[in-house]
Amino acid sequence: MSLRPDTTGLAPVAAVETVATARSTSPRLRLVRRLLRKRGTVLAIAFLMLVAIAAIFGTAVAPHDPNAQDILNSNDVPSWSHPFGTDDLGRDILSRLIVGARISVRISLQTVLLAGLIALPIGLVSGYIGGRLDNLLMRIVDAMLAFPPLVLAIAVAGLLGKGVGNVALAITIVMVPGFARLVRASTLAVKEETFVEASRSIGTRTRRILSHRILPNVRSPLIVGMSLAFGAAILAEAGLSFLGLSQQPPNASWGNMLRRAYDHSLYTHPWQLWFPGAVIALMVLAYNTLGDALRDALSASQWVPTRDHHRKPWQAWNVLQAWQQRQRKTRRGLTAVTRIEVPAAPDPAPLLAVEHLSLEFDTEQGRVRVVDDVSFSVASGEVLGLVGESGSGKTVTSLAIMRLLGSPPARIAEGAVYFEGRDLFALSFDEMRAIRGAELSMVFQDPMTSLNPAYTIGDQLREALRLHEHVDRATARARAREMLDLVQIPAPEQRLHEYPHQLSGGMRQRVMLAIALMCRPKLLIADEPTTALDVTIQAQMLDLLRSLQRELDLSVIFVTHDLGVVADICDRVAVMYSGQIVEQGTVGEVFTRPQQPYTEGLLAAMPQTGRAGDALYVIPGQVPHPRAWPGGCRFHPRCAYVIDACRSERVSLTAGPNGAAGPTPHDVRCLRSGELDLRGSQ
Amino acid sequence: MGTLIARRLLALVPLLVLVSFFVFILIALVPGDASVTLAGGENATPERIAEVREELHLDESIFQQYGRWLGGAVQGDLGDSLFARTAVTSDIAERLPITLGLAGAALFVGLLVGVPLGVLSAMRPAGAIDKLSRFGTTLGISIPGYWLAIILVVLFAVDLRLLPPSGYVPFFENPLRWLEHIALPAIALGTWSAASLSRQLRAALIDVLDTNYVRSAWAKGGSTRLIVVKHALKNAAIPVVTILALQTGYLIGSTVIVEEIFTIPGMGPYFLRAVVSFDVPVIQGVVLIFVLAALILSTLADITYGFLNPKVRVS
Ligand SMILES: Nc1ncnc2c1ncn2[C@@H]1O[C@H](COP(=O)(O)OP(=O)(O)OP(=O)(O)O)[C@@H](O)[C@H]1O
Ligand code: SF4
Ligand SMILES: [Mg+2]
Repeated sequence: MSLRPDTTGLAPVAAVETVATARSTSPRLRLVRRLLRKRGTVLAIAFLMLVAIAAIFGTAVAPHDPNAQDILNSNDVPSWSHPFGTDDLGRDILSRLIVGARISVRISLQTVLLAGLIALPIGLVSGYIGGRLDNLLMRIVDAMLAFPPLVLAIAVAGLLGKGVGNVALAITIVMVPGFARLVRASTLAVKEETFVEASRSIGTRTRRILSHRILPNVRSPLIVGMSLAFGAAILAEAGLSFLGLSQQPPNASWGNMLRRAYDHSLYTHPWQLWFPGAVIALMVLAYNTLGDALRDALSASQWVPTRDHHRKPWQAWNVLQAWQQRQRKTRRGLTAVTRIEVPAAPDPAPLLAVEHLSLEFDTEQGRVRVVDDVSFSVASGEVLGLVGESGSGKTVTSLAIMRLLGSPPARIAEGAVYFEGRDLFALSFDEMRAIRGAELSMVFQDPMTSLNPAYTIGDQLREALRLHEHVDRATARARAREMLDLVQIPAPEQRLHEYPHQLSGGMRQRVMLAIALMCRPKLLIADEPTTALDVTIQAQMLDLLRSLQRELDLSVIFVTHDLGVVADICDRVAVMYSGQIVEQGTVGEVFTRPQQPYTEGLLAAMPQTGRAGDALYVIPGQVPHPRAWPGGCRFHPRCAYVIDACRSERVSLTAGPNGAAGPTPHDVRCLRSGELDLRGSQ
Repeated sequence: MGTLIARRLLALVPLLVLVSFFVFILIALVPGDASVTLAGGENATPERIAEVREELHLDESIFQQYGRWLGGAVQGDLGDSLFARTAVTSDIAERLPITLGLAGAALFVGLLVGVPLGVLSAMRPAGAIDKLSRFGTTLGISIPGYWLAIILVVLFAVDLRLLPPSGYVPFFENPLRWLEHIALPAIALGTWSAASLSRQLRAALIDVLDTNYVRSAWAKGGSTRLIVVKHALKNAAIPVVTILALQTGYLIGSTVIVEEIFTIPGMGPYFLRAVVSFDVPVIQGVVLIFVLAALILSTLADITYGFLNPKVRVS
């Protein structure tokens, strides 16, 4: 048992609270609602209330005098007059449990609250003032934390002398240092945050900062820590009681009742051992359940399974089937596919064809669609640019092709991806695995976190090869070296032995590229491979990509929001907005004769296009959240050419000339594409 | 790595001084005149009181007493029991291995059950296994170890008569009999370990399985086994090892009650007898040993941390 707060998962609390307050309903109400959503929490609260009643009213609600002995009726099994039976002295067990509740409740409240109250100023001062004082206080706290809590509690309680009060004192002493650390940690975290820095610089007094800024943020972790400590306090008190250090017989406590039953009835009436133990366990369970729920409710929003409301209990068979299906579909490392129809493959089949892809996420607020009916293709040796503002769905589209989105929460709701004519959404995990990294590779947006910090560069390169080809170590090593050479990393031999944290961002992205190309894939998806890098490194990286593409005759999907880069290295371009493709065609076509106002806006926003001296153009407004996609044309709130029809009519993607004689020169999603005269990049 | 270990050990010195002071200062908690209480309270004879005063040097200042005690402790002399008159050090030397054996067995149970459970539930959060294991582990951390021990005795010793209800046979006398006697206490203690370990591991693994580098590993075409065993577990182990060490320190402390229940002649009963009779030298000695064990574990954890985390190792 642990008398120290378990702080896992407490960190994001502060951040979430601010989000919660931004919502319309009061955060406290939302918290209560989230708490009560789980049946277990409701049960826990109900049980705690029951115990609270017993603790408050004690003998008044007890059916018998808890200390009245009745030798004639000793060891009675449960009956109407003694629902839990009687002990070896004929005392009513239920009544004794009821008066024992007072001890447990009192101890848990008293110790935790007192310990929290003592720890709060220590942690605040230590964290906020820092320096020598912090050093000294934390040394002391660390020394106290080194003691196994139960041993310390026994020693302290024993030396102070038997009795409930001394046990409470002992438990409090043991709890203080853990809480102090917790408070200090949250104080430190908040202190570093900019708003505290800011208010300090305008000269807010320290006391005000502590009470107005830091305290509110320390509160949540402390409350969660304390609520999880209640259970530990009960366990400790019952343990000390069991050992005879707390409540002295004949007065009852749960721990000493258990002890009495153990000493006197183990062989003759073992059923007597169940009641006091079960009550202790239930009490701790209730406290822990409540603490866990509180933590979950306060911390970052988690994925919650969407309830199927229309399920009926008598449809047991359907429920079972649905459950089995879900078990089969949700598998780590492979996005679930829930489509009903399978779109046909185009003929002739290009290297990659994405057909009517729709993606959904199960979130706490329900199911949201983030990619909606997206189709595009990549021919062999071709470079396709996938562009759009942040949040338009480029990354999730790319990840869906690789089936790398986690399920839950992601699901492929519609569509197909044909890679060399094979429907990737129909493949098993092992079939998909054989393609990933071998024929279809991906480089991710964030080079800093995409390499495993625990393994060397060389290990991660060799692994990429050995997953797909049976080669010996020496060959793998040679190939790894070669690849580092190819992506122009100096001193490759030495780099092989280094860990990711020893490399710069640009170097790491080159390593990622080397890993992706290790097995000579046919198609590379590069998701903003340069965005996280600084400008000069970006240029080098792009040069490298371009030369490698030619050298290896790679097909590439190049995801970016930089149209300048698209003009530089892409053959064709697909523009995404709010989860849809809004325009698609060759780079020359789209750039010189854009047919869709969003594309025009993106082109105008290019630094390369803007005339010198002009302020850089920005498209007004923001990309809407997938939950708030507007009806009609999704771009209409931001569009300069909007007409009434745009707000209500469904706008579909019209096929360009290669899709037979369409009205537009390439694929466009705009009601007014024919009539508008939009400005290109020249 | 060598410097890391050296630095850790060096940092231990001030901590040890503080900790040992706290252990010693426990004597200050004794109510009333310590020499009277320790000599037997109300029925203490004046001679006995003088004797105790003399033996514990209660006339000196607390710091002088501490210095004397620490000096002895460093040389392996923790004084004599006030009642049994035996040397505390040799009493502990006799009992400690028994307790460590029990704690080791409990830890084994904890790892054996906790690790697979944690991994399986992290693989599919909110899946069937996860729900079941969350329920089980919540129970596991809520059930008092001493009650579980008693239930196990009732079931396996009293009802089924499969295992002995109490007692102990040294390992080197008869390993099989030792196992028979240690099994129930180890399970009673190990259940809590397993439950809390699996919860910690689950949380850590879920975090790690969500990282970009794990996604990179899937993207390479890695198998589930490769992802979990190679890429995720090593990183998830970094926080878990620290917690595991801490918990094992607690676990050693929790042997006290369980040993009492099973009448295992380890540190527990020895400690508890001393606590009820105010046998201060014994209490101090036992607490010191328990703290030392916990400190050694946490130091080992820090060193393991260095092995697992190249950022600490290579710099
Ligand atoms: N796990 C998820 N759960 C719910 N919504 C998600 C999840 N992942 C992404 N989304 C949503 O999907 C939408 C598209 O995100 P995506 O990352 O694909 O955008 P992007 O075009 O790649 O933007 P950026 O340029 O910032 O990388 C966003 O609105 C995002 O909120
Ligand atoms: S459909 Fe209407 S709102 Fe949408 S882009 Fe075209 S003109 Fe603008
Ligand atoms: Mg992205």
